Amino acid sequence: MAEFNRRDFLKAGAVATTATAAACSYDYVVPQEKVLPYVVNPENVQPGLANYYASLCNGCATACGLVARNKDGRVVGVEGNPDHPSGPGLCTRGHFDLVATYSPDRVAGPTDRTATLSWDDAQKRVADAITAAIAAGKSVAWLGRYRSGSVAALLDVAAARGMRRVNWELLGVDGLLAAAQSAYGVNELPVYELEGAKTIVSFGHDFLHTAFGSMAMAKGWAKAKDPSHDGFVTRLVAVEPRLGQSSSQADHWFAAKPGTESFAALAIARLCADANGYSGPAAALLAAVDVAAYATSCGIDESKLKQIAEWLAAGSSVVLPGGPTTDGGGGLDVATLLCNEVLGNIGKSVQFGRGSRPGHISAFAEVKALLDDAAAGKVGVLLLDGLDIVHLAPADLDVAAALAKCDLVVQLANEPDDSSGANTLLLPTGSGLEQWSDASTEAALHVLGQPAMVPIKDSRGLGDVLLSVVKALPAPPAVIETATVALSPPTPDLDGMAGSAASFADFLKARWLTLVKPADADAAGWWREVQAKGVVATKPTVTSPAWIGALPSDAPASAPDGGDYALVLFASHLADGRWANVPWAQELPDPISTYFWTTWAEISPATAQRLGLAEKDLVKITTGQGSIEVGWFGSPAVAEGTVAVVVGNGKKTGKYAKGRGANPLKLLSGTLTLSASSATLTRVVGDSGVHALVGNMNQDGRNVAVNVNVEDAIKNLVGAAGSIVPIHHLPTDPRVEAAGPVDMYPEPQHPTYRFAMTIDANACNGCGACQIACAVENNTPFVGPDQLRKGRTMSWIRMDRFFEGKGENPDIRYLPVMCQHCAHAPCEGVCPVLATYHNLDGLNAMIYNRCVGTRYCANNCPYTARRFNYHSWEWPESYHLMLNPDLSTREMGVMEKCTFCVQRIRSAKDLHRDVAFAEREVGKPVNMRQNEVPDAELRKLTACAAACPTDAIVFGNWNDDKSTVVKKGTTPRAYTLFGELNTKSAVHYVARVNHNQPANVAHHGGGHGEDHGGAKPDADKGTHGADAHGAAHEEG
Amino acid sequence: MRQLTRATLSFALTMGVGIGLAAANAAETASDEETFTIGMKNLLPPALFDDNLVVTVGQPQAEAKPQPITFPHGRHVTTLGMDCNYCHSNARKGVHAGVPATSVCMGCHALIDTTDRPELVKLKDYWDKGEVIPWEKVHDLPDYVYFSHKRHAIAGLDCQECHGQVQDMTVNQRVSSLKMGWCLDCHAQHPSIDENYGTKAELRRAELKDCWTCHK
Repeated sequence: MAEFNRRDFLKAGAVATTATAAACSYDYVVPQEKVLPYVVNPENVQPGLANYYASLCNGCATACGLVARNKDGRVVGVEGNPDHPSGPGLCTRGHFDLVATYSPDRVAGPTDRTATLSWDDAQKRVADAITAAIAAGKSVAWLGRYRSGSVAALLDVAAARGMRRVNWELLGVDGLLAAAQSAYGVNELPVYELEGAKTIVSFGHDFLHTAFGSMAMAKGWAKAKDPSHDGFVTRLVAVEPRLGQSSSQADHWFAAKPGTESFAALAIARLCADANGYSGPAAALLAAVDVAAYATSCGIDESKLKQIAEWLAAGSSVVLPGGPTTDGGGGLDVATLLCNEVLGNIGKSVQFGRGSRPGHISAFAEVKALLDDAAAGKVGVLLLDGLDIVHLAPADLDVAAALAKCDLVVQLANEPDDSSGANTLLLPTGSGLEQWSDASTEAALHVLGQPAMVPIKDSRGLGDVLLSVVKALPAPPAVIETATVALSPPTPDLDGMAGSAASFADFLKARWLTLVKPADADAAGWWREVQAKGVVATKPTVTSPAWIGALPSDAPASAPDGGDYALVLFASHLADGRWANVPWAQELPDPISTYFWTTWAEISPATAQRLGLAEKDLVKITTGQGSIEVGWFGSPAVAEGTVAVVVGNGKKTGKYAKGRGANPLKLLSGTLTLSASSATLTRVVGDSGVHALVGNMNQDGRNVAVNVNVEDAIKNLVGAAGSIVPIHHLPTDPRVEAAGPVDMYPEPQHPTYRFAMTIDANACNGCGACQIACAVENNTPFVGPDQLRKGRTMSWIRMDRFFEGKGENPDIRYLPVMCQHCAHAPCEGVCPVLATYHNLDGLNAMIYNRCVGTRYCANNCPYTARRFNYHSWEWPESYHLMLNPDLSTREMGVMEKCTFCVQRIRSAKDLHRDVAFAEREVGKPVNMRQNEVPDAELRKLTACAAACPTDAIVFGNWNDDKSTVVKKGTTPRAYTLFGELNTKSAVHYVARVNHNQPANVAHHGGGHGEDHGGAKPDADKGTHGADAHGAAHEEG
Repeated sequence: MRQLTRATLSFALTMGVGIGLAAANAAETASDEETFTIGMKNLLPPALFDDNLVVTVGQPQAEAKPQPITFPHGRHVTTLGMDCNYCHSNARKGVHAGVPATSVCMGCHALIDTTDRPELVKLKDYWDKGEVIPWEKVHDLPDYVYFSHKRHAIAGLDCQECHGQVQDMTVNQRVSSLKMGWCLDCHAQHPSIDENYGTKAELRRAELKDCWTCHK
């Protein structure tokens, strides 16, 4: 008789329980379903197989390309378009846009808020209102977000026909554009190429996250940070009052007094000019810069400014402009351009001539003037395109009243928001995935957005609505001039083109054939090719305009007066609030605070102490405009005397947005400058309800997210032996150590694949794209703030965040952690029903049907990678249409976790098996080897790897020595998490490289010379022996 | 009362059979290097596949379901000699074999007289109105099961192995249980595995026993 151990007892007991349940419910009847075939099968549609469409991401104005996956008629996934210059990879916003497509709040059709109208009626009302407005001498106005491409062209036509047009965004580029205009006389934005920059100085630019063009900059930054890319590791210096997601990657942080960053920038420009003997056109200006005085003004020690200038002057560099927390428009952006001018970066790392701009750009003053006119009753018809202006405007503008004075407000949005009033006609313009669109944010870059599915509601595309507006406007007085970007072919007669176009799709195609198509290309063939690729990108031209600017005339704001604290606002995942009604966006924890679903204030721990704030207290922030009460986060990444508040929440409308947090924009006045207002803070006793998803501020001395020294990293590149990662050791019994590594379990077999992942923590900036991509791919629900506060997150990827530095060395580390697919998985042994096990592909499988919810596995997982379903979560109408049919949804009482996207693996294998069988048909022998999926296809197979903008996540077969995952995962910087536990995990991390990190190892010397500049940092006293620890965590 | 007895019996059987087989499998693994095991042990106690224990879809063999149109499979296949793939054209290409679009029916039936043929009149009505024919599903797998029709069809299985002698049927009727044990019986021993995978057949059989082959 076999040994009857505890494990077998549990197993048999569980089987018996199942047996009882099964026997009793033997007559369970599955609901009878129907098969509904097509009447006529559409071309190229096969039920159960996905179709892919190259299209345009409408998440922001940057115009990234995406590939939409349409399965059974619905787009269930989006990925970056690899043919696009900023692809592959897709940031959070592209995924939010997909989720927003299926929002439960989407209106069924055009509505005047009392009844649903037909499109013909609605458009007639708009046309009549336009005619009436013009007859009455009132203006027809457009107030919307940035639009480029054919919609921008139609706006040009409408503007020429007399429509007043304002394109503005809260996190916009108007300040930077004005700076470029005044400094270089160009009508375009600088393009920052970070790839070759040895030093990057940022004055608050959110270049990895919410800034225009962040995808390309994130890629460039990751390459500049990769020591194997060009033999250097970029040094990022942040000069701003609050470190955000982008600047959290900084090696050095110098907080200027809020509002005085331009002093710092000017002083740095002067110091750089002195260092490299700049004698260009701006040289005369620099004489007026008094470094010592400016250093005093901005509060950064002169020696530090000299240090920054020294780094900058030493090699290739980029100086990035201001951002939300530093007022870019107030002279700072000009000052940063001046830095680049004296450093000789213009035409190299800071490029003009590419025609970079997201269409027409207006300053907030134009918004204010328009709203003032509206309040005075001078605006007849106001078209609102994607801007919730009531939410966005500062407190001293009564926008709701101004909108009420218009005869008709036409809101071009899919759901009502705070700007919807009694005189609002809501025209649902659908999602970018449902309509023709295009974008062109550079002269040599045209992105085509083709519909990837039929609209789920009765919507009509933005372009079509705009075209009907154009046709309702009077014919133009003269031939119009467009060219918001420098277009090489002659500007066509857009007005005529618009007048004769039957639909926006016709107009768009005609415009592309005229403007984009090479003269010698065949129209039909070229158009098919464009539709397949989704993008036309040619080599951009770069010019080096001469400096014509003056020093910023407006003196930088001095330290704020009237209040005790400088108030700066910043954006997180909700951006300017456009994603506030997307529950997955609300739930995605902020990278710094890991807060969710609300508004919070970040203050320094010392400030919190001074205010006597208890953990649950609220903080009341008062300015001249009013006050808000929000929860607080004591962040080491906020300067003393500064309070930073996140924008985006505080909306009054929306199923998920309503009543969340407060709107800090109402603390501002007039010019809507997000930085350096002054505020007073007071403690309010209560329960703020904020909660950090990542409870630990730091690693408590453990080495989970590892840093290595720059010199070590450069000398130990791909192919070098040994490890330079110091592994934290658990205290162990000497007898255990003496016995050496002991495996409790037999070695699992991986005859074909050992699926594995390598995560380059050095390229990860905590953006969260992997998390949202995972949620969309794997039907992961949102759970809401109450459940999150109980720790019941369902996100399969946790973004760990650790504050390991302090002061000028912030050292903020991110680490995405998902199921590590251990070969010796602690979770498997404790499952009494074998619901989780290790399979032949090296995957830690999880079978939901077998799971009985003991949660032993989650308790035994050292990585906290498992998620338990405390409820059967719901996908309210129409989110259920977004569900990925390739895997099931899980119900209450079941454990779930990362599966390495097993459905994608299955699909990839399936296609290769098809190839093998097809070869057999023609007489070739078929065997398993032929079925192996090649590395090129595995590399970006999982949703997280496909989404990662910086290529930090790579997937592949660990059995394949030539695979990227092995190459990256076996470098001296690679390590496995808790390797000392001998879990033999399949996820390999590559340690971060930090300029402040002391050396961990004695230098090997060989291979590289000693010419890597700079003094070698002091060797850490507690140096770890590399070789011993390298062996300890090596994969068996 | 009958159910209670049955449950007790199953419990007793499972205890005995499950433990016995687990031990036998462990011994087999040790002696035969060519055997692949998933995870730590041979994980799936065969007792679990007992038809009485696995809750899936209904009875082993289902009653014929009334369909909107009484479609005579026999006439199309046996009398007219049509291939299954003519109508179920995705059977070798797709995850779902699929029921043909009405347009496929009308490809022939547009030319066929409907006089005194009420079933054909129904078809024509659906077509003329542009309405979908709401067929009742005969072979329904639970939503948590991934089943690729082409994988099985390309591997060389005959339609009849799972669907029964459809060529002799009028309205299609399910003849297989479609339960997990029934699936795994084939996955463990179907001759096409040896034909297709040759020396790697043992590995393929082990893979086919993996829960994640079908469960999603």
